[in-house]
Amino acid sequence: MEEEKPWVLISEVGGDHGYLEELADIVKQHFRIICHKELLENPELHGPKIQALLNWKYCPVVEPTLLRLLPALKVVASGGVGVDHLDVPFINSLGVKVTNTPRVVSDSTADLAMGLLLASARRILEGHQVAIDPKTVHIPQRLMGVQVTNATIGIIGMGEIGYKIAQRAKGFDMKIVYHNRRRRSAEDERAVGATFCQSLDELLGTSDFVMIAVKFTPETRGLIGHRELSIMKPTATLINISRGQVVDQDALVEALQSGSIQAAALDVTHPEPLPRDHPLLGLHNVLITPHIGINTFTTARQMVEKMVRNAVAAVEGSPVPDEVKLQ
Amino acid sequence: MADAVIDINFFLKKERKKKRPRCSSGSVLMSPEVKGRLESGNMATRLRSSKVWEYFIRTKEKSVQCNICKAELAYHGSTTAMHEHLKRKHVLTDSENAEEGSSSRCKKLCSSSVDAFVTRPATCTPQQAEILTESILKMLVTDMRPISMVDDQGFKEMIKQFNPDYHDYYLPSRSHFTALMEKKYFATFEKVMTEEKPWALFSEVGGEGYLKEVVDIMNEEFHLVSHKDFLKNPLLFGPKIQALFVWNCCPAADPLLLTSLPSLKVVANGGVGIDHLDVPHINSLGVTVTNTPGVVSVATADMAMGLLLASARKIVEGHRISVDPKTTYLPQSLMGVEVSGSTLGIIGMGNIGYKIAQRGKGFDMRILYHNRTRRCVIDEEAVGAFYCKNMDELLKESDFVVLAVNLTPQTKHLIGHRELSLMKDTATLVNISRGLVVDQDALVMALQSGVIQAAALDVTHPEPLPRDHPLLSLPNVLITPHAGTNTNATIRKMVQLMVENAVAVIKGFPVPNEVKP
Repeated sequence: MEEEKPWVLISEVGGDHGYLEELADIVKQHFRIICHKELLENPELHGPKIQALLNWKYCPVVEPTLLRLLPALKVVASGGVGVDHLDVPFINSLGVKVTNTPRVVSDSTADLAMGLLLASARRILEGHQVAIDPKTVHIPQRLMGVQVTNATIGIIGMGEIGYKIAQRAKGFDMKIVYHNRRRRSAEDERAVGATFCQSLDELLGTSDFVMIAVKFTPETRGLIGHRELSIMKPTATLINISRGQVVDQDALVEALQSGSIQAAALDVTHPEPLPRDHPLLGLHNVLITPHIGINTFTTARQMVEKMVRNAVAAVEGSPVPDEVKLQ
Repeated sequence: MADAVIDINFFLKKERKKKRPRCSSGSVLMSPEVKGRLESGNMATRLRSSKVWEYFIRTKEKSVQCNICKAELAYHGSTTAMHEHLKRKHVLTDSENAEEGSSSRCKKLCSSSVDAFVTRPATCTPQQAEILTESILKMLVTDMRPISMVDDQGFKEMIKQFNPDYHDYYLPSRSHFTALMEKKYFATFEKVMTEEKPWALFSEVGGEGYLKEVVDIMNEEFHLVSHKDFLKNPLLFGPKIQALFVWNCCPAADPLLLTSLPSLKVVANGGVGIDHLDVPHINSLGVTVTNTPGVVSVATADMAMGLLLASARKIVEGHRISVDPKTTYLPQSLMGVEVSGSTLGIIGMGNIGYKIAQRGKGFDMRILYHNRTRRCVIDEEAVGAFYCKNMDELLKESDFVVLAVNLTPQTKHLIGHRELSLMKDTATLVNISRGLVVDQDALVMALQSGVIQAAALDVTHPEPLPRDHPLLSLPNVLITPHAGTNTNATIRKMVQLMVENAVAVIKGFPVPNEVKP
């Protein structure tokens, strides 16, 4: 019955930052929706009703000022697997659970990672631009890319997403090396033909494609800086699908301009989007996508379903499937 | 000087059953020691080297011991002393140990003070003789040793080819031969070693033609004439040209060009598609057509997957938004379609199609394929592919339809209105075969009306499309300029194979990739 459904706070439906209608419908099956704008118009009325907050693409921003308006809040259900944008200890201290959506994001993120790798390697963006350019009269002969088959891919961060990337790379007969906090089991390694690199430097020195798939934590902030970029082959491509802050962006710009590495393909930057005068936007050997790692209808739907399931469980007091517990 | 001895028996392996050649020297060039043996006397009483060793054993690096009397003899690589010992101390009879004697001509030879001589057994085949002659000539250059030739007619003919001044007598005097060597042989030898490179016609370097880096590969085996240079003087170049290299359909192997190349033996294409060549007509002129299958497969398959992913996940659009000066926030509506777990339908499961299937498997895609012939079970199971005997079935079920057929009269406009309407309205068409496999007008209509969702094309008809063609402005179309094989590694391999094919046809070797009609 409509009246008994709990209330949930979301950013907005439709519009620039909001949920697609279809996704909002999934939420409406279990909750009554209050949009952020609505809340701000009348916080005293709406605030105390809200038991769950759905955080999608960083919106609404979960700051202390917002949390103060929501005394009855039980859960912040985040869409996606990264929770670096949430101050989990602080939120927990208010008696509020934090949940994410692991596993559902892995396939589509891995797909995008390979898509970026191939688009960069085979200069698909440039090719398309030439193909549709009004001035094109000949098929260009010099639009040469790098061979992906049999090349070496170095995966930094061999979690679920990293492993799925390895599975896809295997189909291209790529040589797979990886670096991770813990080594994977021999069986896992054998299944994709991956070789463990104890030292990150070893991976950087031998890879044609360096794929960053780590979680963003204080330890991985600035993981790839001047030194790491200089160790990489000058013919290598850097691909980042983790978080912008894992790479020292200024060092990256320098490395690309000086030819220290050949190219970069980034789904994530810091900030998102980059300021319009940022040098990365003007480099010809950089491919940037607007954080679309999970942007497929299938995955988005699965994510929202999971978020809703988590939120419902927390509100009802049942075991929460994907609670983020601090180590 | 080190002795260079080539054992002609190497070439005579097949002849072993027959009687060994009459002359004891199975060697092409004899060492001074062996020559010494000949000089020292009646050949008939000389032991074969192998026989000599039956009477001795090596005791130290530089000495041997006689098995009969246990005397120690110094050994410095020559069996002469051993012979002498046996002859003097233990007289061996002719019948037992005699070498097959050589004729008196050998003896005659030995009286002239040559350093070595050559004999050619009568059982040598022409090819062996050729190899032999080449070896001799090689030696001449390195060793500068005067030689004399003892031989029969066939061999003399061969020598005459290299040296027209060779006179028809057995034993040219040393001085004569030396003079010949110094003047003629080295000149001749040069010819033998470098061997006249055949001539080949190709399109151009740079521009729409070849990268400079790969022209070296062609230069190694051929004298190259560019099409532009050829047209300046077709009567001069025409009769010389034995090979025509076709790259990106240039130069066009039309009847007009072919008639001006009377010596043409081969049209060697760079790339696997030969729909631009009239193979039956070219064959009717006695000219072989070759292509380069296999080497193009992985790069093309990579491109097919790249296009599929870029289209599905809107990578090009995403980049455009990311770098657009007007962008201030991340768009939420830039949604793509899921590749993992979707259905991939491959039309044409040859080398390239199969490699696409292998790559699709890595994405947990469900793979359907349609082909003239079904692949074997092992192949199917390796990639988890299901055979669709009826292409319609594949079209109805696939989320991504990839065309990997070759262009033939049967596959022209294989995908038209009907086929597009059978496809899902959420499906994407990927074409890496040839533009003409698709009815382009039907494709435009289908995309505009939403009959299919998107298209990603590495090939169109023509290439490039006219600048006002509707395909260029449709938002759901990704086009690349026929870049399927555009990696340095693949281009090199293609040129190498193209050259290899041409060389094989001209030299009469087995041709790796002859295109049969």
